[in-house]
Amino acid sequence: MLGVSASSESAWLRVTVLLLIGILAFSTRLFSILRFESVIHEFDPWFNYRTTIELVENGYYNFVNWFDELSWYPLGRVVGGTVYPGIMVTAGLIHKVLNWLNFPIHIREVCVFLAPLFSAFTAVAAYLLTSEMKNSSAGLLAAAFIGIAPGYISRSVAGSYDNEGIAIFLLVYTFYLWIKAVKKGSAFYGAMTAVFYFWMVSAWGGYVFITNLIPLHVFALILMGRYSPRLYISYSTFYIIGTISSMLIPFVGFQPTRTSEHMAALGIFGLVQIVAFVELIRSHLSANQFQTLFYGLISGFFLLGVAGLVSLTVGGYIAPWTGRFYSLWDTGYAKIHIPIIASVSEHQPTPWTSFFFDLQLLMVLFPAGIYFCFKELRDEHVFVLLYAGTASYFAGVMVRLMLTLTPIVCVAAAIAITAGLETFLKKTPRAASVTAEASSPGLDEKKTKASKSVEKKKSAAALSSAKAGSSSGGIWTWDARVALIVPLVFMLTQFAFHCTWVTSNAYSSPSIVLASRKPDGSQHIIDDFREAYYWLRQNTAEKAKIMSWWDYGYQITGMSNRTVLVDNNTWNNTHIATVGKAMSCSEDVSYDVMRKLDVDYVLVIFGGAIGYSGDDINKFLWMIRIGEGVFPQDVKERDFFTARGEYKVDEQATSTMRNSLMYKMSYYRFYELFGGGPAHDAVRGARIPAKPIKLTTVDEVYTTENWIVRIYQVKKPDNIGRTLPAASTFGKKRRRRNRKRSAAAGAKKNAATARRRKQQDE
Amino acid sequence: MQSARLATQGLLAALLLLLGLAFSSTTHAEAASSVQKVTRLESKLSAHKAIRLTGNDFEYLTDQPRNFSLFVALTALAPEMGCVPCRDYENQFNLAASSWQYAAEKGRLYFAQLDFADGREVFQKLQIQSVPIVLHFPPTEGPNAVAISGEYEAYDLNRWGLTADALAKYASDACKVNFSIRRPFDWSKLGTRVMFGLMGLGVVKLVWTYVAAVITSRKLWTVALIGWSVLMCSGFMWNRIRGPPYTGMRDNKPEIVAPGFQNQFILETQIVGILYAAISITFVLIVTRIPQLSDPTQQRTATYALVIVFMVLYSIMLKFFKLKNGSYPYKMLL
Repeated sequence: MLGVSASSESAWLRVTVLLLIGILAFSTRLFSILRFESVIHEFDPWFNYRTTIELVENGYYNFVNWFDELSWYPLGRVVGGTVYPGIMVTAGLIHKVLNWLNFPIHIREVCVFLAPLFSAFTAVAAYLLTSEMKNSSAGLLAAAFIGIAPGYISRSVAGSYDNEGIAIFLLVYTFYLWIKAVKKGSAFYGAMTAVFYFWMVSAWGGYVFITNLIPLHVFALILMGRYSPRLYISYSTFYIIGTISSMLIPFVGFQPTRTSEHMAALGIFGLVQIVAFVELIRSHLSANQFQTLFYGLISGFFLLGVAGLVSLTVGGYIAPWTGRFYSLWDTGYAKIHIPIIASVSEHQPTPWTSFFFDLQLLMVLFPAGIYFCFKELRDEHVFVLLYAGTASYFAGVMVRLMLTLTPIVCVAAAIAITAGLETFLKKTPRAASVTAEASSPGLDEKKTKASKSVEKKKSAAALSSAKAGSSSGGIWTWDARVALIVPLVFMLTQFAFHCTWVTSNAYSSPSIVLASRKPDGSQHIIDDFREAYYWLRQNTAEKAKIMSWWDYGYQITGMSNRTVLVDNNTWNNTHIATVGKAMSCSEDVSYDVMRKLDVDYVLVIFGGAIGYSGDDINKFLWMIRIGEGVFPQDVKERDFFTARGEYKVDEQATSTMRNSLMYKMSYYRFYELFGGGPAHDAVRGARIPAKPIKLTTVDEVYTTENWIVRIYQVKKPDNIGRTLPAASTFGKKRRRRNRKRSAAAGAKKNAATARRRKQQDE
Repeated sequence: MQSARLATQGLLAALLLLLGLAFSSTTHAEAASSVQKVTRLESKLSAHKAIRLTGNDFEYLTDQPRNFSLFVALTALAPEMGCVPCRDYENQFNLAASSWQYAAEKGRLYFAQLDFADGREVFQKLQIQSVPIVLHFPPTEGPNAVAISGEYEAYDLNRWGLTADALAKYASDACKVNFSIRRPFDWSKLGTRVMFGLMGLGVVKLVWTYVAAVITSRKLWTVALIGWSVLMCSGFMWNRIRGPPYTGMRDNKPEIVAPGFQNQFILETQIVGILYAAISITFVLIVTRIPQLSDPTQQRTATYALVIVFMVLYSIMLKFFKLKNGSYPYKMLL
């Protein structure tokens, strides 16, 4: 659906530039796998990978009906009905097509490279969207921006096989089709919007953004008095096809008719019908005095509809906003009511540094882009403005939603920069054409040094702007042109460097393999996670149940192929709280919990030895908090803080802290690393006392090279029915008691008996 | 003889009875005082408020045994104490107490309040450092008895917040009763609201032309939306949620930039927001105003001036970012 203009030369140029941008977008995301190896990253991707394998090996229907017994022991999980299958199906299809074409490629490679591939597509989609807003020069700029903007790279590097990887492409492309549909009033584009919307629904929960933004756009246009049959046709087509098809996704089901998130779309659909009806009647009547009546009619119906929705919600027929979405409005809600959502680091609010880090120059020119959109304010610009306003709010509330803000910032900044370039490169009617020509070649020389992306955009922009140029004002002197263009080119070049630097330094870590630098500058790879997971795979029984905090659930099932109690799909808060309780209680209490859940091994992450800060002791407070939410009698957050309210792990640690299973397992035998003296915890900078920690209910079975992962085996109950602490002190107690007794006996009876008894002891 | 014996027997029996009575009444004073406590609490109950205790009451009621739950708010309401949260919380606590009275199952749960002025010795005994504090004394006997470590549980105000709803939820969970906050419906408030609403509508109707001019003004919307997105993109929501101080203090010097990449002060975000806006405004001025100048020299001067402002502002922005992230390698002029 590339728009080909009359001039085939410029069209070819544009295609070439877009192609180069696509290649750039793809290759800038490869840092992560070039440095390490082609491996799936982080946590969620491991689950997606595992399900994709299931899909590829057993087919779609088995995948939909798949009951996964390796997770959420003993509950299990119905995977088919609780995932967005879009990404797995997409990867599976690509795999199938490639194999059909006789490219025998492993599904892992498809998964690893899926996100970079779709980033290249996103660049094309951004080009199309921006071309609708301004012109193709702005489109190329926007494509280049989104290709390298770190805000998007952060979730789409190679190996990061996650929903967002394809969802952003679908988001941008759906919006493009929607704009196209509104512009043309075409049912075809409306239907295409719905098709891509369906793909989006199947891929990411963020589709709710589309279902609310498009109706908002329609509503705003109606309020602005811009209702037209085009709007009616495009929205009605989109809503009907989109809603019905979205209900085909098992995980979505009847939500479009039952939950508040989808009610805006439904309400606007009704409103559009009423407005269309009233407009129809009005076109057949000429009397002006009916106008008031009609407006009354419209607002009456509107209020009636709102009242109806509210009463249905109160009556319980429509579910109110779910916690995840509600916490976007009431930002304090999650912290009190759903600590499990508040505990995730990507759900934290965004500090200003993240905005600048992720968008740099674009962030600064974003407001200017908004201004230029307001200046033109056609129907499609209203859309951009609504998108900008809502997305900037969401990005402020949650770090993760930077992702939805990034496309619109790229579009707006591209519009602003193009406005500047066009004004300053345009031929003015009076000024000699020499000036314009003089400035362009001068630029070209400079650009040889600049990065590829910037260079392409610039020449395209210069070309298209040279064609335009007929309005009244203009720049009269060539040096005034240079005065703006040179700094702007410098800034754009710097932006390209910034993006590469951020990508390389911040967003290309696979997080299951950690890289550090040795003193001599060479790279040192820390591969403890895979070491431990592989150990579990090789050394434990196939049916073994492994308890860990939920963060590692997907990785354990994915890499060790063992059953876990909880994982990153945090659907059952009580179950997670039970694990939290087991981790934070004393050994006796924990042992009962673990026995009830058939736990065989416990896995903890401990970074104190090498300074890995994302370890379980740092996450421990959340375990306590989530545990306390369900078991307030057994777990109390207050007890883990010292009298002065500090969270300590050294000598000052509270006794509750020191007796908790997590603390014991983390620091068990830790001081032995330091030759028996007090140990130093490199993460918290604390001195750990050299007192030996006694574990009576679990045995240490494995600790990885850098001590990051420690695995403990849960002991079987004592075979003659004693408690495990009692059993563990069996020999020692008896000896002590016997020695006392023998001493007493020696005083009374003759020495020979005592000696004999002592010999028995030994 | 017979009668005399009977009489002595009767006397004995009476004595025994008396003795027994006396004995049982003494045991009653110790063991069955739950009932007395409830009577005492019921007698002190007043509508729409928590029970005001004195130090003696507190000692008496919190002494075991108990067959009811008791929530005591420890406050210092005297003005010289300067405890503002105490006063705020008193209202919420009273609201919870009166809501419970509506739902009351007698003898299950009581809300009481002990002020510092009434029970100084209690505060000293419990070593209370800060107020307000809510203590929960669960029942120690009867069907609802709960065994806890220590005499009482502290209700964590920092965690649950200073609202009546949170307290009601906690109390319902802790005592396994079912009640929620009932706010008395304020008809006068509704009346004034409706009045004001109608008046507002009337005013809008009267000056509709002006209002329409304002809400359809493109300039106004432009400014509003730009302001909104600048605000949001400069970490405003972070400030709302985390509540950082306006500026920091280090070595007795005010500090504008918070240490740490994930941390910020309010002033810092304001500076960033102003920088974003200023850079964008300069850029817009360059693009829109300069082509309108018809005199080449004037235009040239204006271009140079504005471009320099633009570059300097952007350099400051980069510099400011470098303050937060020391290893950031890029800069422009500064």
